[in-house]
Amino acid sequence: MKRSTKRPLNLFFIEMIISLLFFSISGAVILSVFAGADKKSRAGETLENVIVFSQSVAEVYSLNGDYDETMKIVTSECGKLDDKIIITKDEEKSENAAGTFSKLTLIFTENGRRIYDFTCAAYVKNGGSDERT
Amino acid sequence: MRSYKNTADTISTVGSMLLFLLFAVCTMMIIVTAAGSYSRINDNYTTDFTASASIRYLSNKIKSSEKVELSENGMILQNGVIANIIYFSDGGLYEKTVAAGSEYELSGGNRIFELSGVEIKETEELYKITVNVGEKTSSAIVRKGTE
Amino acid sequence: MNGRKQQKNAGIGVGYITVMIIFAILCLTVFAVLSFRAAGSNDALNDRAGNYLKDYYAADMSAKEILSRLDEIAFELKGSAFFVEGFEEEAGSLDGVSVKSLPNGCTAEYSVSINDRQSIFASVTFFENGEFKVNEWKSITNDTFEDEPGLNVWDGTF
Repeated sequence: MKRSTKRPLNLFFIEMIISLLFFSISGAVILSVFAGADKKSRAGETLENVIVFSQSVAEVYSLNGDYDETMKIVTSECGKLDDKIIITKDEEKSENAAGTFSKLTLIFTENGRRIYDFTCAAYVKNGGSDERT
Repeated sequence: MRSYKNTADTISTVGSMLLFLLFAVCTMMIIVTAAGSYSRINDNYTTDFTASASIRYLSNKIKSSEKVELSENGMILQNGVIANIIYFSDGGLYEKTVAAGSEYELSGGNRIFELSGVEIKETEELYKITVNVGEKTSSAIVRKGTE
Repeated sequence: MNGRKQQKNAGIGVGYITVMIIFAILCLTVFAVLSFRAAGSNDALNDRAGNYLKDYYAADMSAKEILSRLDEIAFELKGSAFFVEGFEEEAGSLDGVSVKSLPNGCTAEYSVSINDRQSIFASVTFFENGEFKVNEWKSITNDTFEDEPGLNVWDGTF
C-alpha cells in the first residue's frame, strides 16, 4: 500500500529526468546551430563592409593610381574598416612613354583567414591625372 | 500518523507543481531567447541586404548612365531617350522612368527600397553615396564615368 | 482508497512535461533553422556581390590596359602630320577596337566583357597633341532588343 501511493510522484520525477536529459542534448545541438548562424551573420556583415570598401578603393584608385592617397580619401569619406581586418596590398606599375599603368591587388584577412581579395587598375597619364574628369 | 502522511503528500504535490512551474518558466525563457536571437539575425540580414543592395543599385545605375544630374533629394540618370529619376521620399527610395527632356518631377515613382535616408554628393571627380538603413550607415564612392 | 485517488489527481500528471519539451524543442529547432537560413542567404548574397565586383574590376583593368596601349600609340604619333591615319591604322589593328576619325584626332571605341550579360563600353577621343578625353566609360548589357513579329489580335475594325 505504501509503495503504490508513491508511484505517481516517482513517475513524475523519472519523466522529468528523462525529459531534461533529452532537452539538454537537443539544446546543445540547437545552440550550436544558433552559434553557427550568429557567426555566419557577423562574418556576412564584415564581408559586406569589405566589399563596399573595396568598391570605393577601386573607384578612387582608378583616378590617381596611388594607393596611399586612395586609402586617405576612402577612409576620410567612407570610414575605416574594423581594426581586426588586415589589408595586404600588392601594387605593380608599368610605365610607357605616355603614362603609367598600375595594378593593385588587395587581400583582406581577419584573424589570419582570407575573407576577400580583388584586383583593380589605374591608368594615369604622365605629368597629370587621367583626363576623364 | 495519518496527519503526518497527509502533510508529506501535500508538500510533495506542491513541490512537484513548483518544479513543473519552474521548468515551464525556464522553457518559455529559452524559447523567448531563441526567438530574440532569430529576430536579431534576421534584422541584421534585412539591414545588410537593404544597405548593400541599395548602394550597389545606385552605383550600377551611375556606372551605366550616360549623364548624371543630381537634384536635392535624388538624381536624374539619362540614357539616350530615357531618363531614370531616382529619389528619396517618405522613408523609401523611389524610381521612375520618363522620356529624356520632359519635366522631371520627384513624385509618382515606384518604391524600390525601404531606407531611412540617402545622400548623394558630387565632387570634382567622384560621387559619394551614403545610405542609412535603421542605425546602419554605409558609404561608397563611384567615379564619374563621363564628362 | 478515496485518499489515494485524491492524491493522484492533485499532482502533475505523467506526460505533461514530455509534451512541453517536445513543443519547446520544436520551437527552438524552427528558430535555429530559420536563423541559419537567414545567415546563409546573406552569405550567398555577399558571395555573389563579391564575385561581381571582382569580375567588374577585372574587365575594368582590361579596358584600362587597352587605354594605355592606345595612349602609347597616340603619344608616339603626337605632332605628326599623319596622326589620324597612323592612329587609325595602328589602333584599328588592336583586337575589338574600332576607330572613327575626327578633324583634330580620333575616337576609339571598344568593349570588354564583364560576364555573359554585361560589358564595359569605352569611348575615348585621342587628340593630335597627345592628350585624350574619356567620352564614355560605362557598363552596358549584352542583350539586344529583337523586334519579334507579334500576334494579330485585332485589326481595328468591327
